[in-house]
Amino acid sequence: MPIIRLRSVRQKLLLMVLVTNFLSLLTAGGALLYHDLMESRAKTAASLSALADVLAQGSATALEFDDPRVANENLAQLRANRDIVSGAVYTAKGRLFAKYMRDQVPDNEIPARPGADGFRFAGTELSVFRQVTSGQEVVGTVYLKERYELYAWLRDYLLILGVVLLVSLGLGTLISSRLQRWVSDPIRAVSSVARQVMEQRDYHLRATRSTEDEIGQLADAFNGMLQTLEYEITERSNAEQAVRTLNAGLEQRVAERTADLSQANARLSQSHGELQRLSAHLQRVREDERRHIARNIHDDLGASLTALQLDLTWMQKRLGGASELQRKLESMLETAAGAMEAVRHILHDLRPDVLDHLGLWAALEGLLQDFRLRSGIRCRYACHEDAEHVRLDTAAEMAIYRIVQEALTNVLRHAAASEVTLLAEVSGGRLQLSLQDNGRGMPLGRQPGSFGLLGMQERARILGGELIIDSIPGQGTCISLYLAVTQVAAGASA
Amino acid sequence: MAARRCIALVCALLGCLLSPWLLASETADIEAQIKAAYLYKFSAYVEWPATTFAQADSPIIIGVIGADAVASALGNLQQTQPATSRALKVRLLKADEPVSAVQMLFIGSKESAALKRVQDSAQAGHVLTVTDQANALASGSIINFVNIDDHIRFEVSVAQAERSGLKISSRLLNVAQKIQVRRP
Repeated sequence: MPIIRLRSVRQKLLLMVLVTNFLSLLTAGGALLYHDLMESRAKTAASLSALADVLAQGSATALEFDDPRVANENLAQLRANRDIVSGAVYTAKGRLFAKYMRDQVPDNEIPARPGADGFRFAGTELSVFRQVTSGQEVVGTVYLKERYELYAWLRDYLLILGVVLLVSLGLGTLISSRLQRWVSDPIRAVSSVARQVMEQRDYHLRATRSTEDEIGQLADAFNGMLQTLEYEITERSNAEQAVRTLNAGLEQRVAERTADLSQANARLSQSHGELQRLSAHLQRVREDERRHIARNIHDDLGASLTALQLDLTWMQKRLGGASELQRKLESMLETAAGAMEAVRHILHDLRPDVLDHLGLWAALEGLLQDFRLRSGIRCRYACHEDAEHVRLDTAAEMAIYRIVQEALTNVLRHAAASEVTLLAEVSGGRLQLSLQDNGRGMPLGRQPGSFGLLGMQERARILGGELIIDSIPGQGTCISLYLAVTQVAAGASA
Repeated sequence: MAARRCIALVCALLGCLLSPWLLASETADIEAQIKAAYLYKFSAYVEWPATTFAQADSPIIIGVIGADAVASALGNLQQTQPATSRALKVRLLKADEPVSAVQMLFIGSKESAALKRVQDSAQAGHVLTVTDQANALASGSIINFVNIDDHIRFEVSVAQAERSGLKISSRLLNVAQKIQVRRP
């Protein structure tokens, strides 16, 4: 990834051109530099070699005729060339014959003995040895040393190269910044349309196609996409409109239906309330009826039976020892006593006066004792003392008594239980009264035709309480009555 | 062993006694050798007229008068590589012998009078005359050896050479001690 973040195609194109330009110029410059360096060295070496040749020729006779003066004179002519640092002529035996040194060159610059033929570069100096021949005979060696200012040459060369590089980069920038508009302007046109579309959400805009190249194709493709998008968006908004309309209709219908339902519900609850009131009324009427019947039986039938017993007892005393009559009277007295007992049972069933005399809790305990005697099922009375302080009005106590009575009847009929427990406790202002058996349990849910359960629930509702039936098949049933009691404290203190 | 040691001792003694004479003869010997070498090299810097040589590889004949040591040194040099394409031959001449058959003539200091005699025939026969006598150039010699600071140098008379039809290379003139040119 490039280190410089470039935001536009223009800048990227420009950078591309510049980098390419720079690199190719650098490569070409490097190649040129190498070539010129080599050429410069070769040229310098060749010119020095030529000079050495000339000098060798000039010195041949001086060497042949052993004349160092002439050789020195020859060498002194080198003064014309400022770059020649030193020169020397050696005899064939390698003795220093003549020498030349430019000013301020120490003596030891000149080798004591000649080297092999040829030239060598050493630092900033180029030195050459050239054999002097006369005919085919080697008569000596010429030595020349030249200052070779490579660094100065290199510096000048690099300076020129740098200037050329800068100028050509500048020109390249100028030209390419003009030329790259060919490419970047159409792209910018398309991209500005794209930006407008994104910002304004206006899908009616179209990019103008200004070239026939890939950018032109891009503009065409972009326009095609815009067209498709425009079509799709129109379609979608139409569909959304339809859905919205449909939704509004549905909502209206739901509202209407809800209104209907709530009306029906109101009617239903009204009728339910009426039903409950009716049911309560019926219960009351029933209890009143029972009380009425019981009073009639007690007042009329009871009184009549008592009168009959009194009469029979009177007759028995008067009759004396006539044994047959006596036996008859005995039998009649027993029948009357049995009738009297039956009347008392009927009266108890109709109206358990123990409620009136001893209260609900004693009545419930008595009911359990009766049940145990009648069914042989073990009964346990486990009412908490707090619960026994609770006092309710006569109708409520009667309702509770009837609920327990009905529950016990159910246990006897269906549960096949061996033990029942009556529990009562008060917690959080609520009285909980439960009858628990250990029988086979019962299926939950509404039992068709089970009017017993229905009756219990109806009674509980009239009381303002709640009846809950818990049953696990095989492990028994628990019927619980929950009742809010506000008068617990009053009852407890009374 | 004793005998050998004795001989060595005698030789050493003899050497000590003879050394001054030996030294002088050695110096003369070296001088002759150098002169012979110079003569030998002169041939490379002198151009004879084309008619001088019968054939392309005809040898250059050097005549020597009155300098046996130089002649023998030249004879030794003959064995080495020649300075030109032509071979060199040395001929010891008597003072009264004709010089037309040679191309180069060296007249030793003992016989310097011979120059006067051979002057005309040498000039006609394109002979390069080399002498070893002070002021010999005035007498008609072309090259004359001089002794400067114990170094053997030579002087050249270009005018005399031209008269003999010879061309002396400027390179030789370059190292010459003194050059006599033809007076205008």
